[in-house]
Amino acid sequence: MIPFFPLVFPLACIVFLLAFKKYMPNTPKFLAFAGTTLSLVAVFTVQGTESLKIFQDGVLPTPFALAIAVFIAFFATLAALAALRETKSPSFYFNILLSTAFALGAVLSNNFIMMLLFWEGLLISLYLFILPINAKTALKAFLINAAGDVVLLVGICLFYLQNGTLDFTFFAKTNTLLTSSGLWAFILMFTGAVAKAGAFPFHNWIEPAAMQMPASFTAMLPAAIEKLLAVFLMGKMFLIFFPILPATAKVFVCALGIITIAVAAINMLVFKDIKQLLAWNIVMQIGLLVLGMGVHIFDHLLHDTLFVLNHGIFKAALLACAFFTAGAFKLYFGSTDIEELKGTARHAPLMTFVLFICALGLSGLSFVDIFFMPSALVADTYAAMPILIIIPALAAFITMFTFAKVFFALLVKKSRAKAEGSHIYNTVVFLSFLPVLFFTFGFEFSLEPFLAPHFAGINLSWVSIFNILVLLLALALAVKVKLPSYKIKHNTYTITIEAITVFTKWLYKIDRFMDKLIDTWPSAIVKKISLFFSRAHRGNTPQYLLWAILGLLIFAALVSDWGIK
Amino acid sequence: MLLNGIFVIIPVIGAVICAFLNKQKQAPGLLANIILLFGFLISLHIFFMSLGQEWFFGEDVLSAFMLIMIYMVALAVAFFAVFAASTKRRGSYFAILLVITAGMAGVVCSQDLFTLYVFLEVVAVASFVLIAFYNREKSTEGAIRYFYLSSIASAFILFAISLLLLYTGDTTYEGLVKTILQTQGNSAPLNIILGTLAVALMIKTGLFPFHSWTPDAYESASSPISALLAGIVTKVAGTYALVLVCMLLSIVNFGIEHNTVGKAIMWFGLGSIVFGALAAQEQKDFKRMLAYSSISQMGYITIAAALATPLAMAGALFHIFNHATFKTLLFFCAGNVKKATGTTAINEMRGLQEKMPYTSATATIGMLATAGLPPFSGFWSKLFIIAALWQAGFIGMSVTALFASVLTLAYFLKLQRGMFFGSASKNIANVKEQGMGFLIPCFALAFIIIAVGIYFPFIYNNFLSPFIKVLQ
Amino acid sequence: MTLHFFLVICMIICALAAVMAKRMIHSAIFLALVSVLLATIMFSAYAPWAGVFELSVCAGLITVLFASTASMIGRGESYAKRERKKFLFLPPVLIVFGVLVWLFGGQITQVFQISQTPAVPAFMTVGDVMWNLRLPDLLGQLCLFVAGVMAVRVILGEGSDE
Repeated sequence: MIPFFPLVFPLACIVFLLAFKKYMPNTPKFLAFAGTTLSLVAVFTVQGTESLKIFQDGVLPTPFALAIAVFIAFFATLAALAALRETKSPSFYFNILLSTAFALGAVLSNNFIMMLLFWEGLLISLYLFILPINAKTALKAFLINAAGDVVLLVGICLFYLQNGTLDFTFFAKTNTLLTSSGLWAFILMFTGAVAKAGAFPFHNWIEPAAMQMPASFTAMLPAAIEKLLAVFLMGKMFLIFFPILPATAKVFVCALGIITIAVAAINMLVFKDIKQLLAWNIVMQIGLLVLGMGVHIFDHLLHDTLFVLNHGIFKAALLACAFFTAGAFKLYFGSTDIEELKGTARHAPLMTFVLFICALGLSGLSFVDIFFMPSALVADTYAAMPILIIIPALAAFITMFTFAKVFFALLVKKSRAKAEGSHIYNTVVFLSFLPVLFFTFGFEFSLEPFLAPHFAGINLSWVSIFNILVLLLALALAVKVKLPSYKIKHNTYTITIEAITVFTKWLYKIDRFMDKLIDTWPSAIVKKISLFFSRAHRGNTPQYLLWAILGLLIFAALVSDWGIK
Repeated sequence: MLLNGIFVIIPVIGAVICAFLNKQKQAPGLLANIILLFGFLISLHIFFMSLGQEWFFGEDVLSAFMLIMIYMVALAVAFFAVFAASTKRRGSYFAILLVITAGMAGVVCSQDLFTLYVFLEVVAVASFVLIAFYNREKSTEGAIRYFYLSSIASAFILFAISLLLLYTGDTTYEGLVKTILQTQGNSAPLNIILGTLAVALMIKTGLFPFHSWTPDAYESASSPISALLAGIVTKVAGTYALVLVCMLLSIVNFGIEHNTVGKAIMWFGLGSIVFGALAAQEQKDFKRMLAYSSISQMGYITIAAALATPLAMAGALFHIFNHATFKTLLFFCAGNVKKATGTTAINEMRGLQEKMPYTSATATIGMLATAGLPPFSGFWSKLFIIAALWQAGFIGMSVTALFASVLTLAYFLKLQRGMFFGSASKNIANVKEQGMGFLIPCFALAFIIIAVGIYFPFIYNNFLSPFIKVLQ
Repeated sequence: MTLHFFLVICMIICALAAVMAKRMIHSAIFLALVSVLLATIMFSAYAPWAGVFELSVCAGLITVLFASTASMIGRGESYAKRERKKFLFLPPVLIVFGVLVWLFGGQITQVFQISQTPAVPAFMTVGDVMWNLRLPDLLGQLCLFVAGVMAVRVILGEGSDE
């Protein structure tokens, strides 16, 4: 159980919370913070190897998993801190601890069964999180995530059927040849893996959840933890399916990424609220990530694909930081609507600056990323299929465009009342900015394959120039062009719900019939038989003897081979 | 036999002493309990001593195991009877209890068919007395019916013994084993002999269609006696001997293809399983339902014993043990309910759980264990039996047995809902939980059920697999 | 062989008569007859000790007990008549059963290869058999005795409880 050692702390804190919440009303906050911090510390201490290899035999989690776990615990701690100022409901802290526990468990487990257990546990904590705020959104989030988990489950089952084992270590050692069922396993598992993070068609819940919940929740769960989990599982899957994947898989993954990006882009253009914008950014980023994975699938180079994963972690950090910033705006100025936040840049310069850096990173400015992922992405996309280059370019363009609109609004000169700052919240934002800084300027460090930079230093290849040009164009257009204002009514969620209603009516009819078949008729038959028997035992002695003689005759018949089966 | 003779002699002496203490209130019960307690402890000692030893009918692990069960159930019943027996003739009551214990001990310790017969007669007479103890009209009728069928069974046993004497001149088990080995088990006379013996024992066990005496006998006897009858008497008198017969049958005919008698017994076992489960569904009286349930469970034991593969035999013996515990427990709870409310009709009570929580809880445990739910002990023994049936190729039988298990659960759940759970009806306004004396045996048995269920791997490793290996 | 056969048939008829007799004392006498016939069979099967026991205990002692009890009960007649109807089915059943045995009994004896001559008398005395060979049975008999006494005492003894 050593791998699960960091889980002890959130779980112990949960137990304390449940047991003692009557006696000490302030305990939840303290416990939440304590639980998450201690788990962070614990993750650091669970080190079993010297080198930071991806492949790992045995029981201990790989360093890759550990790194992800570090980030999970870190963001959970920040969320707990941020929540101190944002909400007073004790269930919020309970849910933070629960989510931390489940996410850590998912990442630290060494086989698919345990991972699934914890992965699906996140459904519960997600539901519980949103439930006090808005039951409908909670249900929506639960259903969509559950659908994604079902897809993942089916994929894993197919995988098990094909390979006969669910242990992670299996994959690292052998090569798996893919059959058609294996291809389906891959597709389903991949979709399930990124479903939580918000790929199409599992993306509809993020926006309402982000809008209605406090920022600490959004920063922790959809932005950071679920993305990190998606990155984790994508990494594991890559190792599994490393050697051979047919072209259809690549096409599928790229298509998934492109559709996700498209959907996110459409929705981003009609934003009215920073949180809304950031929520659709979550979706777009996972789309970019998926596209990046898809482009690299044919590579037999572990190297390049790893950078996509590392980039994913970076984006998660960026989004978390951005959400914390948005939360700060809400705390200080009371809302995150663009109209109401006009002119606040003067009163919260630090926040605005952090948000600006995050925006740059999200848009994909070349050097704001140790791995120069955007450039690499663009370059590889071009290498894969030249026409596809338009997609990441478009993504970058729209992101920059919309963020530019935000900043222009923020920077408008308008007098406002001065806002109260909060030390804790400032600390939170600062701490969440640290990984961003690390990822941006850490290219000085040359680490093992896990963290080594691809294109170290500022690169002036045509790709990065193209990148900067796109961004400048976006900036320019943002000055003049207004945001469109169409209303988006239908999304996959509503369509699915309507279809399901029709389907369930028919299922109900079938179920009633099956019920008759399985329950009503057999029970009636059994009842009749039983009544017959009970009436046959009313105390008539000769009848008893007759039964016995009958039995004797049957026995003799059976024994003497007359008609024995 | 003589080594284990003390298990027979001491209770008999105790019985004689108790008979002279008829008018005393406390003494007979105390004496009976002490004797049975000592017997239980000594039998445990003997069992653990004989665990590694060879197979030898009459003085081996199986006998020691059955002795433990006999004394355990008898002790529980004696303890319960100290509180529950509402009779002034306590000396006679406990004397007969001790006599029937002696008789059962004799049955399991005998090494000869004729001795078996004599002790079976002891058990029959003593059960007759116990059923008719209170001299009510109904109980005497039930006792007489039991006696009719029991006499027929005794006649058949005697017939089988006489045929055996004609055939081989030797009625000991060793002799029988030798004969079977000599004739390679294919001889028709031997089949006839063992078949007749099997029919007789099936009557004594209460298998379908020889079961007719069981519902009346259990319903009309008082609760401790019903517990004794269902818990151990039918097992020792019936299934133990059937198990012996089946073991004898299977000495050469391991694969059951030529073992026509064994196959016939299996069919009767299956019939009992299904019949018991079906007939119990619509019963309106708690004890009658338990009687039909017993028929069903005996069917399980019989079908596994007749199959006689090592796994099946282990399952059968384990199920004997389990059924002893849970049926006894259920009859004790029925006794508690009867004493508290005055009736055992299911329609007249609802919501007993509020007033009699301990009884309800232990009864629920007993019922779930009988139905074969994990983690109780009944689950494991039923699993063994069904798995053994499946392994031996009798897929249809094992599927039927599984369905009957579902039926068992069905009627027990109905019973539970009707009697224990649900909102309290007006009839039970004055009902109180029984005193500790009534509850201690219930708790002890429930504890055994749960412990055996949970610690099953331990039991499997230490007791059952060596047993299976020995059989092989 | 035919002697045995004839004795057995007589025995069955006497037993049937004992069940269906009108008066109790008649039943007791027919039971005694059954025991006597059985003792005769035992004597002719070279089992003198068994015959002696049978004759003295069953035909003698028990019949005396039955007869004295039956004569003590006054209303034996009307009681017996009501019960008799129940057993009217017995004679036909027995006849059918007899016919079946006659038809199929031969097969059973063939299976067992039962010879016509009686078995060789045992080389052990009765005492040897009882004490050395059959000691557990004696223990069983003792238990049976105690059980029987208790049975009589409980069922027919002083005072009932309900």
